[in-house]
Amino acid sequence: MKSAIFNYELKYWLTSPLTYLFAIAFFALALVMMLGTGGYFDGTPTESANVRLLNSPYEINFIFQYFGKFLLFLIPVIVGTCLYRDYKSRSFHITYSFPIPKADYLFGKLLSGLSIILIISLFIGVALMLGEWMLGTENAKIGAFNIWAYLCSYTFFTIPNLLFFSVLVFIVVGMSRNIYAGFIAVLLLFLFQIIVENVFTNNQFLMALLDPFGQNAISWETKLWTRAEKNTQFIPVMGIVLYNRLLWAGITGTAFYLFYKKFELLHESPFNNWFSFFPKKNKKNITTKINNKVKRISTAVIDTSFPTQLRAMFEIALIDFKYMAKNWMFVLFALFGLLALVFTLLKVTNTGQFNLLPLTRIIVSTPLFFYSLIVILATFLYGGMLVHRAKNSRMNQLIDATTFANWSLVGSKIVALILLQITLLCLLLLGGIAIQIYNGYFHFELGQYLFQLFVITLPMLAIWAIYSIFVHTLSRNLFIGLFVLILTWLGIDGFEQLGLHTQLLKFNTYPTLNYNDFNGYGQQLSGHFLLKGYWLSVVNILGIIAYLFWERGITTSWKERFSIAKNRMSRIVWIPLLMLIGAFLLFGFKIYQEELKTASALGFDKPKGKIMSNFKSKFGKYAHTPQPQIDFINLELAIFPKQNNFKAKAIYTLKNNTSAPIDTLLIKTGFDEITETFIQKKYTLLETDSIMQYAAYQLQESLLPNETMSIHFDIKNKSNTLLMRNSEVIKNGTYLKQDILPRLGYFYEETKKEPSDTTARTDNYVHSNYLNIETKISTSEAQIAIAPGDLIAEKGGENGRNYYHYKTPKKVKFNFSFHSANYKKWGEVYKDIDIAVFHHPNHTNNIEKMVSGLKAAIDYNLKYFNAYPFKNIRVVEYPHTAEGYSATLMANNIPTSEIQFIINTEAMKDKIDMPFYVMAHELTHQWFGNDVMPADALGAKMLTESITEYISLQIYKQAFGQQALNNFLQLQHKRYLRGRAKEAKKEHALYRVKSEQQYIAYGKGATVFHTLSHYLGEEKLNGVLKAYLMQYKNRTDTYPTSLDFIAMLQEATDESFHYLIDDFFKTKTFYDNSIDEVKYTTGENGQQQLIIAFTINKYQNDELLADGTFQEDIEIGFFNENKEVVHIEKVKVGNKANRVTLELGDKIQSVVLDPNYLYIDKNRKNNQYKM
Amino acid sequence: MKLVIDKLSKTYNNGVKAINELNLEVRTGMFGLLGANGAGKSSLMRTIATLQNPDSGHIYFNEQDIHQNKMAFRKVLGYLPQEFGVYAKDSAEQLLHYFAILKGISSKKDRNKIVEEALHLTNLYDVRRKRVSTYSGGMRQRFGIAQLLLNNPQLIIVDEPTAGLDPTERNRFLNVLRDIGSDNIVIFSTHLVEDVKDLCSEMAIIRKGSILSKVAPINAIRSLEGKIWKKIISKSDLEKMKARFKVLSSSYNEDNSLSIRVLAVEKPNDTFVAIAPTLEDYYFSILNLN
Repeated sequence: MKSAIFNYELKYWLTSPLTYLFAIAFFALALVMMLGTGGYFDGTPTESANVRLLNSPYEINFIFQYFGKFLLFLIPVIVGTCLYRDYKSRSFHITYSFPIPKADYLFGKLLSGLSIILIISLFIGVALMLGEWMLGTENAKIGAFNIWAYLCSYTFFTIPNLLFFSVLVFIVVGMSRNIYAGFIAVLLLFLFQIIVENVFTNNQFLMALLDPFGQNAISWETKLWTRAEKNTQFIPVMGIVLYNRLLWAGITGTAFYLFYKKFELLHESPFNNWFSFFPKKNKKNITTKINNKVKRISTAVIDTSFPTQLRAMFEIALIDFKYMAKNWMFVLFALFGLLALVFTLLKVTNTGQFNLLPLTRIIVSTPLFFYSLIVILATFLYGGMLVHRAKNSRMNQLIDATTFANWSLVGSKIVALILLQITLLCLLLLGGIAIQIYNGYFHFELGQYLFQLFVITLPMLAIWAIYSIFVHTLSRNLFIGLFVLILTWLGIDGFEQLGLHTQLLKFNTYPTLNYNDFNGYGQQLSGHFLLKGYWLSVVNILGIIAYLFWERGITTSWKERFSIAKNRMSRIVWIPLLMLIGAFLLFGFKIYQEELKTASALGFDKPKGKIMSNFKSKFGKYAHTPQPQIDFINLELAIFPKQNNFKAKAIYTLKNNTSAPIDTLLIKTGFDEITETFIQKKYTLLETDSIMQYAAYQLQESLLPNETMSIHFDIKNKSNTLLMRNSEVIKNGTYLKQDILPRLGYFYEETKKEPSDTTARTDNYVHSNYLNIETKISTSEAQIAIAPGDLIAEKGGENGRNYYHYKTPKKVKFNFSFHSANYKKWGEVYKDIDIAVFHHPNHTNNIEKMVSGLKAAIDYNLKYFNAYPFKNIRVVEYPHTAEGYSATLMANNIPTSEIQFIINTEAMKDKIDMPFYVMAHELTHQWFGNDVMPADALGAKMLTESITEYISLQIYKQAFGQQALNNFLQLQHKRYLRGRAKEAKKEHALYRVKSEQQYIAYGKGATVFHTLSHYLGEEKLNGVLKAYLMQYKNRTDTYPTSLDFIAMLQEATDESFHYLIDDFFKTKTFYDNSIDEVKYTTGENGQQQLIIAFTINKYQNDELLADGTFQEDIEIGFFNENKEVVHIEKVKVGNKANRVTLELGDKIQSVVLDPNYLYIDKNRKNNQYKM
Repeated sequence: MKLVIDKLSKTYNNGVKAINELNLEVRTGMFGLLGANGAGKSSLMRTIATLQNPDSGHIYFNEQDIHQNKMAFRKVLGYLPQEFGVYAKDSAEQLLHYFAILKGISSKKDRNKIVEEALHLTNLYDVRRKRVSTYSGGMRQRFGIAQLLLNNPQLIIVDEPTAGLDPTERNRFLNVLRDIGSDNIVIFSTHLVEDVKDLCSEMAIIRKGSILSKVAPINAIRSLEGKIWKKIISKSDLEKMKARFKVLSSSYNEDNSLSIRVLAVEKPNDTFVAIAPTLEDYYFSILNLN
């Protein structure tokens, strides 16, 4: 009997076109994804070193996990339907009376459905293999083919996951006898994963264990894998991965056992009362009394005019809406949505790297995005329910025989969906405000909420609503409808994979709207509404098609549906249809035009590689041509915030600092700017490249040594297109940098020089000498404009504009910023230095912390090095949309991201005081980075960032104490270990650090310098730093390399430290140390005798060092009940396994290996032993 | 008021000819459409209810082609299909309001009044707050009548409404139908001759999509007066009798013998006794003739 049921179901699915539709769709998606990522459509990658291999076991598993999530949606469709079909067709009345054993029935149904899904999943594997083969191993992203990669993924993840969740969905459908419940169950699983990922951010082990899909278990096991390991190693299936699989096998097994016990082949579901919120009242036998008073029905006015139909449409929509809103599914969707809101927001306000205040703009960004996903899913599901509802309840004939117009019928369903969306959005609004109140943020920006929710988000959702009704109307089958909808939704990204970048094909998708407090949405809205207009016209055309094909009465063929549709094409339909097609073409053409403008501005019409190779063939020969230095810039900069434009005139004074005449000028002008060049000498133009904005000029009369000349530049920004912002000038909060200004030289050397290369010392890492800059900057009346140097004059209100005149009091590095915004100014004088903070009027919370960071840096650097060289410091806020979350030192200005101003320092109490620390760090760059500029070689960032980060740590420790320092060091260790796991290329030793390897320059650099100061003493190390500073300060004849500094360090220290210096700077060294065991006995006099066994695993250049090949000073800390240090034992070790015995007077609560965080340790958790 | 069906034909995709060049004229009053299962009753009813387009032919209501202007016709149409369901969680009152809106009764005051009247008329007022999905078969059919009454229709189509009802329910249902039938056209399909006899002023017999006979039940019975004869025979003789006489029907007696009813202008022989004709005799005589 079991095989009879199994065979019947299998045959059903194997003859159903649905199965083949799914198989083909998954096959095609997987193939396109593989080929697209491999560059099959838009050019094969040429780079071969250290690329991410597409067909490594790690990556294959990743792709499978990705598709595994789509497969989950098939579970309710296939496994769920196997069971649900009996309920829907009511055939269970008959079949349940047959002598079928329960086991045969349930297993037959479950296993047949599962088999079909597994067969479909095989198509993914085949598609991936085909993709591999089509790309070929000559493709840089394809390694050797390995069947085990596939088998492993199937065995440990795809098959178990499908099994687990098929069982769960089966149970849910069996209990509820409702197929929608199956979909909800799948959504719940996704939600569960999101919750686990967000709740357990501080307990990654639990996150890995509980993840229903096993993804986080793999991440846990592979988190420190380097690129090379990811390319070659098999995914681990032991350890936490195994536990995770076993846990979920256990959960689903237990659930199935319980379900199996309770399930019965009965007319009434034994789970009947589980799915209603209110227990059903006992049904009374209903009887009716005869009432003969009424003999006739009064005649009512039957009105089928347009206004009445329109009103009726809304009335029916309201009834449909109430039906949806009362349904338990709605409660679940709302709950999902609010949970998604809370958890995504928690990441921002509590658990993430920075804890931010829950500003409205934050709530309506990422959290709203996730919330919208849930609303969209609800729209898909409810769309199907509404379209098929009448037929499913067999009420369609009654409805179809009424006078209700087809358009009102279709319209009522769309309106009902939109009402549902509005309700969910209102819920988000209330939830958002509740969270703000909870976080003590009372600045409710109701206008911003309403605009984002109902002007930006709602039309996008409404477009999905109309599309959902359209698809369900045409498909007749709920599942095909849902599949098509989800495919449209997730397939949008596929166009990118195919190399199609136009917005015209990305259904209902818009570039992210970035809101910032200074500028609001800025100029992005017009482009956004253009795209919305386009998609609204598209989807309304589809809405009309849905009307034409709406099934009224009984139709038996598509032919009949077409002929009915043709009949419905009356003039009343033609007119709006033609208008919509007109709008569609108009909007489409406008978008097409704007995209052309954007593409030509970006040079997208040519492949990127070609642009660079063209450039190099033209200009490569000038790479080593000596250039004059910029000595002085006289700049007139007019900013027009409203128009998003600026205009500038720059007069450069160039000086030949070399000993030979110069006759070739290489000028690189701003990439996003249009620059006209006027050279004050006779010249001929040698070469020019309009995309790279580069030109080479031949001077007829050479520039002699020490001679000066001037060049004038007229600079303006490229204008914005509707879809693309080219100008950095915004209505409020403009932040321009030196890159608007022309430079001299060739900046495209492929390889950086080695620090050992003595020729590197002739140029610094910004490729420019110190220079003076004088700026006359103007802006609109309401705004303050800021430029580098001292403010020497200002004049307001002339022609409705404000004028400012700045001049640098001494020569500075070629790093400038220019700002214009409606700033509020905060000021204080400290040790004769004017400290000013220019900020958004509402962003006041962190100013004092920032200023105390500046003061602490002034004090520390004055104590150990020398005085701050300017009379003022200006911290200038820029909007987060301009550039990241950080800050930079530019002469005497510190442009600082809005993020630093809105960090919730209260919530970050036990983390890092970011505003303080960022300011201390940036100001310290004045000494290390500005006063001393390193040579243009590998390792330059060690001399700027590592040293600065170390000094910031010391400043931080002075302000907040040892425990805060330890926390900070721990973060630096993590930063290094995670960074190296993500390294796409090759990890360098610190002395050769590349500028993009921040994890080395900051994470490792800070640790290394801190450990040195621990061993040498702060005074001693700072002494070396001062000597280095004094030797190179403001020099332009020679610039230091990392090796120059290391040499000074070695000279100043005892030889016994040299191995440490070598380890730290010249190798890649880290540890995986642990305390294995602590034995303790308490003697008669209260003395505690302790025996500590510990392991030292020292990794150097990716190798574990053997016993006897290393000598290490290790500290072991002993802590009492109050977590105070009682004793630190220093031990010299040369072997992996070690043992220490000692006696201590106090009662010891815990023993910690390396309590001062001197060594980067892969796993710190096992460094502690609690008694 | 007049409904005229002119050469109506409908063939389904599977080749079944459901309606075959059918002509019929129906006037005010209860009209019974009698036919066996599969005779084409429901297809005809659906087509009159504008839920299905004919392949050829026309239907005129008061001289207007109903498929030319479906909306205008639906204003005066009341339709109760053979099988229907309702939204599971809605009460009769809620559903009737829903239908009232769909039927274009735009004033809320009107709707309240009419829904209440319809509930009274169908004796559902006391259970108006109960879910229709929990109703018994007869109540559900009365609900079906309530919904079709809302727009005060001139043409009412009820498709096999008595199927599956117990005798009490059936009587009660027919009474409701009789009350509303006097001023309108009510077309009422059934495979039970009794229903027609009790109710209809006129009837038609349909087979294979065509009308075999259209007659008033009284006239139908009258036409057979003196022509129906009864005889008790043994079971084994039935085939012999069928060969010799026009046997309309047969029924078992308690002693396992058979009573047969035969149509003949004159008494076939002495073993037959004269008996009063019934509508059922007419029905079988028509089916036998064709």
